[in-house]
Amino acid sequence: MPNEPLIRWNWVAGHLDEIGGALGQHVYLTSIAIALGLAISLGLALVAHRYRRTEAPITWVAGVIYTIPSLALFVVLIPVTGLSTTTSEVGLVGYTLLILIRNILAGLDGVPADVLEAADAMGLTRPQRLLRVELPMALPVVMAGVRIATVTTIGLVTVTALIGQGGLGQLMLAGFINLFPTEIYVGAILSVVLAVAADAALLLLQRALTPWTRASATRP
Amino acid sequence: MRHPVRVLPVFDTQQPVLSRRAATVAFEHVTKRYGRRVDGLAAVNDLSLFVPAGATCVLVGPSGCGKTTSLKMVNRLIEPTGGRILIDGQDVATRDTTELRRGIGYVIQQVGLFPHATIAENVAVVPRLLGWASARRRERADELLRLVGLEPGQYMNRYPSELSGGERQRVGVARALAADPPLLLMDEPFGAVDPIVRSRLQDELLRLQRELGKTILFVTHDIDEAIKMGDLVAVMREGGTLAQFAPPADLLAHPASEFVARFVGADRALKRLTLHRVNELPLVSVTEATLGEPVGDVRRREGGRLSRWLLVVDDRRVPVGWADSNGLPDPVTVEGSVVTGLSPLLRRDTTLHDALSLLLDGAVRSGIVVDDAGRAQGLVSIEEIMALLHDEGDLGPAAGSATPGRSSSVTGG
Repeated sequence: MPNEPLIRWNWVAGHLDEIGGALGQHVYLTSIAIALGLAISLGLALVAHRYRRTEAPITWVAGVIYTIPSLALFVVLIPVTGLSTTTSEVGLVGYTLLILIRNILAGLDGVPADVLEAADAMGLTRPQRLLRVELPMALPVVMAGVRIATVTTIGLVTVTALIGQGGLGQLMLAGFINLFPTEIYVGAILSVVLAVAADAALLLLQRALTPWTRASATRP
Repeated sequence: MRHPVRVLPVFDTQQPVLSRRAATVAFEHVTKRYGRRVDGLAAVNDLSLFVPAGATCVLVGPSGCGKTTSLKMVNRLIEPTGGRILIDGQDVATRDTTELRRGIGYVIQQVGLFPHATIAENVAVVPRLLGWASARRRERADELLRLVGLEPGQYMNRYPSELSGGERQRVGVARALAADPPLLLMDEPFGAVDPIVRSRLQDELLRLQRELGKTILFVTHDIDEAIKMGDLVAVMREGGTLAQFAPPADLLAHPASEFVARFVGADRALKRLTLHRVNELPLVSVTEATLGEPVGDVRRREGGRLSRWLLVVDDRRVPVGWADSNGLPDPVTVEGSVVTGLSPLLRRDTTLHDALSLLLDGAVRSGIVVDDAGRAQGLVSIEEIMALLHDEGDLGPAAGSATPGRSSSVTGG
């Protein structure tokens, strides 16, 4: 590609709809994966927390899923769910489980025994204790997990371009096929920007949700 | 404390915040065994005791004596293996655990405040469980923070991590009182704060208790704390058996066994002095001479005869020192060497233990009792402290009080 610039800005200007669509799909695929992953992980982590014997098998399965190479997983899923959003989401959700389950469990385990004892002694029921004490206190660690899972998922979504999904990955793939650097760079840069922005937004959300974590800094 | 706490009066409202409702607690042959213990000892073994309404009962003993286990069986954090516990005559085993616990205040050493909740929310945990409206909860938190000496405006919206250990424990006490329970369970509540703060929190709990009259079960391993806080003290020993159950004075004067005698310590006579205060002793009057007053006036006031030593006071009657009436400068002044050092100043609510310590520290036989404004009230002497111990019973005739002329042998400095 002699004399081909890295980015042809006039192409970018002429394809804003296409770029915006890819970005939107990227955000959409990521959001679905994190939301579903969080819901499933929360359920499994609560089971593991309540019944400690289930903890090892649950984290083991999540760990096995995590080790499957992403491309291989998508290829295996195609005969079952086709070249669909479902296929990509099954994979994307699967990869969030280990991080989220581990962090939710670490957050719940981090609640000090004296706080639990006080909660019991004041007459909180088991569900009240979970909802009002344990989960809020686990939130900083859970949110740390959500941030890692989100950034990881944003990267993985580009891979799903290979099964016809992929958001910004579609741009990059098209760029490779057409030997057109602009598309590759636009896709790559935007996915990095998206990851950084999502991480920052989640950090702000975490701070807003957990004001007590910064309170101690105000006092010697 | 590093952080100054503005301490408010215990009650600065006309209406008492809390009722004087109190419950009786009865342990009836309560036993707790853990199957896994290899030594076969029970955690608590056939414990029976009755705590009348409004009394503070301290469970004290070495670690592993089952005192905390006993406490936790009252609100069913632990279920007994045998026997039963009655609150106001009702077996706790027949009551719903959450409802039972919401009616019992609970304070622990590590406090166990919810770090993610503000102080106001922490105090109002039980009121919220009981379904109080948010405005009423906030009002109650305000009242209770005031009650435990924390300025509500300054603390309500802060988080526990912003408070010192002593402040947190005050919040813990406020939280336990939030729903006005007739019974408080306190498990080593002041064990994690430094000695100065601990002593202050103890004093404030005693003051609070005088106002509230709740029934309190209090666990500690510290016999001094037990004697200070308890109306009744249950001394427990390894294997969860009750060694003695008595008021502190009886425990110190008449330990029931070698174990109790050893546990309360060789200094139990001194400890008994912590149960008495200076205002229980007869005051010996003293001749005062005001600075700048002509000696003739002093002599006239005393009917012509001056005792050897005069207490020199300033114009507000605050003691300045002792002066020998022989060779007293006229008018009275502190110039020169005639005025010698001052005796220890004792307040009427100083414990006799502290009073004796101050006297020994100053190597003197008597101290000057002053009122809240620091004005001299009279003298107390070591002999009177001895007499009080003797009157209580067990020091024997050799340690009697008949020191000749003890009320006149007043020496200064």
